[in-house]
Amino acid sequence: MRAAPRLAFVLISSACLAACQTGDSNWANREALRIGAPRPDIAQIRERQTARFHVASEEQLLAEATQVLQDLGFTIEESAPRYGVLAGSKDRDATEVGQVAGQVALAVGLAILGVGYSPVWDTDQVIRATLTTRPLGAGEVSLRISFERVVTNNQGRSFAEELTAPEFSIGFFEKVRSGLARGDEG
Amino acid sequence: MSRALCLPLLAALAACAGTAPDTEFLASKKSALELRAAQTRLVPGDADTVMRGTIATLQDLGYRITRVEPGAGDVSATRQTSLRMAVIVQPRSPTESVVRANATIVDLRREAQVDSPVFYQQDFFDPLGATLGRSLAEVPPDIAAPDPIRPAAEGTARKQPDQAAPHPAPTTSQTGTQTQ
Repeated sequence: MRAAPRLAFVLISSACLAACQTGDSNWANREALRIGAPRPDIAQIRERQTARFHVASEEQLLAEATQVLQDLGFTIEESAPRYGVLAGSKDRDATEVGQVAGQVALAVGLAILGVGYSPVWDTDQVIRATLTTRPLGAGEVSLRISFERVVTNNQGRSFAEELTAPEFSIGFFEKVRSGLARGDEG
Repeated sequence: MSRALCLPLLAALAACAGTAPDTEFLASKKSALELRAAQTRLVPGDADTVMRGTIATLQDLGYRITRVEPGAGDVSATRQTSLRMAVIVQPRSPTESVVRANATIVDLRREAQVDSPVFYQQDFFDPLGATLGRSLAEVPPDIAAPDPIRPAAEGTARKQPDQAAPHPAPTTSQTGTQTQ
């Protein structure tokens, strides 16, 4: 190789190596700003996820909400009555037979064409709930419940989906009200 | 071109490709003072009220709560699967608290500390101020602020039993080092 092209090769390779070592140091900030931005419909979501209850105390409401979550199959993972917060999770197998079959068929078809492909399907699904309470005074306490689905696929990657449709929280609130009513009768 | 030049270059490139540890933690390279300024605010309110406001804000922002330590006055939360936040609330007086937030981004093999002042201001402190209905102020250098804590993910074992102990006294550390 002549001297000038050789020098260019060395310089370019050195630059590539340098970039490889340091990487993009701002990637975390970019990702955080992308993911962490407040949602534009924050007020509507909050309203859908919140209900008011007439109870003797915040502790009574938290106890009933804990019972309802457990009745729904959730495991309580965090509980801090001092701050009015609960967190729980429920495991579900996310594997869908159709999804697996489709992915395998795609992999086989592509293999016949000489194209490599790793089938991807969901394996695990965890539903996570975060519940918070806030005393409003005069025997009234507000309760907010938010649900999220975290799905992991067979390649170990996970993604999360917030479950903000009204039916998720409405159903939960109905169960809490029923439980409180039974408690009052008993 | 001589093989003596090619082979070391190829070896070095190969080394770049895949010798990373399982999860590498990448702390911010900013100074402790810079990080403190970005992550810390003085908030009007007693510590319990401010912590409740913090938790409500995190829920509003779409985080799920992963760990609460009433004894230590801190809470951890995750948004989606990769953005984690730990917030510590320490009382400065019966009517004022110091709040420090510390966020990380988790990738397949690395967890990196977020040090963008814009992120902390617009994606946490502004919403916190709105939730509490109060103005937040920067913490002067002569006021003690807690060290940042690393967010705890779901299922992370606790370091010590959970106790309803009083809040610890504010630290005087000026470092930006992670504690867990």
